[in-house]
Amino acid sequence: MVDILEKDSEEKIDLETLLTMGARQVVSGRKVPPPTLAALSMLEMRKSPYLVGADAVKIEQTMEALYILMEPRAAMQSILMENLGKGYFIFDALVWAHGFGNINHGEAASVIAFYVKYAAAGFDLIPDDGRSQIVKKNDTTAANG
Amino acid sequence: MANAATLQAIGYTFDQALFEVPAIRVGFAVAEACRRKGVDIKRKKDFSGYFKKKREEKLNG
Repeated sequence: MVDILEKDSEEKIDLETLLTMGARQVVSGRKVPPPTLAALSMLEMRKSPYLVGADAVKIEQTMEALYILMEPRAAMQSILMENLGKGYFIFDALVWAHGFGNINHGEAASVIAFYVKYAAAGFDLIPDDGRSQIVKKNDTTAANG
Repeated sequence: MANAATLQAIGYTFDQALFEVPAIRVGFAVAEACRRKGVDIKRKKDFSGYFKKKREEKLNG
């Protein structure tokens, strides 16, 4: 699988096409939706190793990521409550995971990593003209002046 | 994060683009909208004559 992902092969393009059409991977018998922009934002907020990278991934981190992918609105609310000091996201994620049933962690980790790897495939086609940097610079100037 | 003008260009509401539509699909839709606006999108597969070429390759072995 890794070899297919690394090169810009026909197989990789086919997988991108299938994901774009809405194909879903399965974890422990349940279909897992590919990440939405909201899910990616939340993975970033949680500094998920699946997004920011890490040498090792804890089971709790996999459960958090799976919770975000499968229940993004509930996860959003839970993250907000934690940020307000009124709850713990990890607790909500683990309670949800308990209700999920037996989760094959290796399978879940593989599916999440696969999804995150492909999530930006479309955006990657857009060339970077550096303008966003200029806008930021102008905004700073305007704010100071 | 996609802004309102971009979402209008690709035909999704803010809620759809955030919570319902896979990010990969939003990305390709944004890339297509950019291409229509004249941005030079790096196409991964050129479909002009693609299937014809495939058929010829198969026929010629």
